[in-house]
Amino acid sequence: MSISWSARELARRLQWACAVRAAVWWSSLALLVWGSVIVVVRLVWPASSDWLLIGLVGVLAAAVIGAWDGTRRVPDEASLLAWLDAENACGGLLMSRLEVSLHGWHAEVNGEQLPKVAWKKRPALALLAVSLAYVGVGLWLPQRFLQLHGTPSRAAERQVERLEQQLQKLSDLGLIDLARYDELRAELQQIRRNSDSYEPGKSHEALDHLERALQQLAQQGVQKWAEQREQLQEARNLAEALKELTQSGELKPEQSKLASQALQQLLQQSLNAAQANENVKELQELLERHKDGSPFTNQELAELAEKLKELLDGKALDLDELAELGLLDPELLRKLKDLPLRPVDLEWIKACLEKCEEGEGDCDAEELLLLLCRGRNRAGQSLVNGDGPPGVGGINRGRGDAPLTFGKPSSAEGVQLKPEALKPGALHHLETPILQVQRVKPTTDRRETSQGGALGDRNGTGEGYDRLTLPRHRRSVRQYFESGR
Amino acid sequence: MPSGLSSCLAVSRYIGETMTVSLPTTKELEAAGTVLQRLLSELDRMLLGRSELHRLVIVALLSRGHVLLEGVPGVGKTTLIKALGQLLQLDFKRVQFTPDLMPGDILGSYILQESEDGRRELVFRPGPIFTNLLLADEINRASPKTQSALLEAMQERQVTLLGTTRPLPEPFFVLASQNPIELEGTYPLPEAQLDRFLFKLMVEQVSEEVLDGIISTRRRGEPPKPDWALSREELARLYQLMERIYLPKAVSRYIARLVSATHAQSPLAPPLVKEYVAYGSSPRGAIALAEAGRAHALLCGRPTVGFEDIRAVAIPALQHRVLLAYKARLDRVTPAQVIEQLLQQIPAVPLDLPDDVQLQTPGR
Repeated sequence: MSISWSARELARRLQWACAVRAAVWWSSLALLVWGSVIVVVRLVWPASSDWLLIGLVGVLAAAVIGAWDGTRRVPDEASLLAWLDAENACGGLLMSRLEVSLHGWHAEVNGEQLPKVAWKKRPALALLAVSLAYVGVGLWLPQRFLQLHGTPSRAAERQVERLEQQLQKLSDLGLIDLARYDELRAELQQIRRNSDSYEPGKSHEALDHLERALQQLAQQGVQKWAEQREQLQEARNLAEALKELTQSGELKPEQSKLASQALQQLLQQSLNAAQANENVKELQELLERHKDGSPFTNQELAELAEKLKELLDGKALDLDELAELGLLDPELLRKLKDLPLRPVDLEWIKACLEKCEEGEGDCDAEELLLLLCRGRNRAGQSLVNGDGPPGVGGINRGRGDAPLTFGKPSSAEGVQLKPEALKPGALHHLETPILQVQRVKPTTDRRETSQGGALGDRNGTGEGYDRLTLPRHRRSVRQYFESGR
Repeated sequence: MPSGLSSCLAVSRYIGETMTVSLPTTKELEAAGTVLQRLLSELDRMLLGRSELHRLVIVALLSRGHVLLEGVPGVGKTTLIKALGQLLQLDFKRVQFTPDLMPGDILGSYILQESEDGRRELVFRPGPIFTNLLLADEINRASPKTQSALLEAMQERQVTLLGTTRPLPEPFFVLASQNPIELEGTYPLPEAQLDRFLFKLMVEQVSEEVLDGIISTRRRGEPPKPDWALSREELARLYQLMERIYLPKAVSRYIARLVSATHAQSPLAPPLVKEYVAYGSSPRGAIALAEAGRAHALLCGRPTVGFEDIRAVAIPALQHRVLLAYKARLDRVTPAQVIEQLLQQIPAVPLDLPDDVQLQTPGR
């Protein structure tokens, strides 16, 4: 078999192996890329995925390019001849053939002696199989497994709609302000977007929290409305009573003036909390005219009472509708419904006026209001003390100091250090002799010691290990001098 | 790239390009092989138990290189050079180096002499260096000045005194010896001077069987007389054949890689070199490998140098050119071990195949 044929045959075998190897690796890489593209596209754009099969063309192209790249790594004929020469111990005759005329010297390579090209193909084929599986999974996996977000559950969707109704009703009734309304609405929309059918618990938890917040807002709004309504009613009662008593002449001028001032204060507080409208403006103008404390005239009192009645009528609230939406619980609804508007009580007002005069010092409008509100006028109490209606934390009982109690002292058991005698073997560690002073960090030699021994033996108690610090180079130097060189 | 590597590659190109003559014919090589085998067998017959040493000495002789023998006294160094002189029919001289030996004692000197006509003139009396085979015994005992004089003459193959240059005889071959023990008061050859020797050969103690043979077959240890001798013409033909032995490019690249791998900073250097070698071989080592490889191929009867020829002469050619660090002495690592690992780890032909593709020779 000629040398040329041998070299060519070996080169051919190598080219084939290298081409297949490179094609497999490049194809695997292309398949991994293709599979990743498939997954990303189907995640972002859940449409028909048939067109993704075009990636197969890229894989084939990568295989061809890889095969071409693999063939470039094959050594040239001279190197192969040199390798054959070395393996077959030809003494340089094979490789010299290309460089010089052999002049009768002849070297052959037995065809059977040509080496086999071995390629460890398992890792490459395993990667190819994994890549193919990756592409297959990416192409044929149902779309529901390839979504970034799950669809909202129907129950959550219904709850969101209900809360939207509640929120809208609260805004329509004026029980929450616009800023708070926008904030809650944005939060509701966020929960709707983030709700996931795979984890409905989180969505429902968020919605329940929002529902409780809306219920609290509704309760606060309704109670505030009730308070304002009571205040307006009390102001109206006082205005009508003052008008009648002044007309009947039962009030002295000072009493009339005092009562008028009290009415002005009561009215001022009521109007501050009321929503601005035409009646409120007119009443505020009326108050402005009497800001020097001058008493109202009868006509003004009549107008005042009329306008306050109009305001009260305009403040009607359909509590049943709120209860139907779930914003009010039935108990609170019943309480609010049972809360009547007080009628005018002329005798009570006259009695308060007389009692105010009997008190020590000058009686002013605040004292009169206090008398009017004590035990009967809860709106007045709220003006004086800042308390709200009971049941919402408005009662002030002062500091809640709890009594201090002292029990038995705790036991010291378990916290004291238990004295323990050192083993005799450890006593020598208390002594720290200086073995050597050196510049480098010393190495330690860990030596096992034997068990047992005499009492006098420092390790006789069976202490496990003893440590000695050795200089770094002692072993090397000893080895050198013991070598006899 | 280390400077040593680039110069080694330059040397490899020089080595590869000088051979433009035709290869020796089979007849010529057969005849040369016969002569050389006869020479070896005679040498083995005269000196027992050192076939490999004799082989390497013959290789050095054919390469026109000098040899440094290291061995304890009494192992046969002088006997070897005497036997060679007898077999090659070459002039032989021996110089025992002592601390008081002067350069003139080796090279020669001028002597004031009265001529026949009564005039006084300076006459040059050549020193023992003017010979074909010179045994420089215990070269490390002489002063550095005397060592330099000998080593310079070995390199130049000529002696210059008082402006007159006198060539040394051809062939000129120096066998220097040094004693590895009793180093007190000696002057170890500096590394730059060691480089001038083609080979450094260790002459070890012979085995029991060889000792028994020596004692039982010869009196007073004297070797037998040779039955045959190589003529000067045959020696000249051998030298001519040496000039025609071809060094393939792949082999010259292999030599260059081997020599560059002796440097610790080379990327080809194996772990043992990186750890223990302070200085690697100079380009003289590559030249020595090439020449010795040719001689080994001739000895094997081949017209071309193969990788196995280089491996056969690598240790003797490189072990005295590779300087080990102090750590090697503590760990008892020898230059031969370092070169041995070098030969195992540096492939003859780097095919640069992918890691998972291998060529499997049948039967291995």
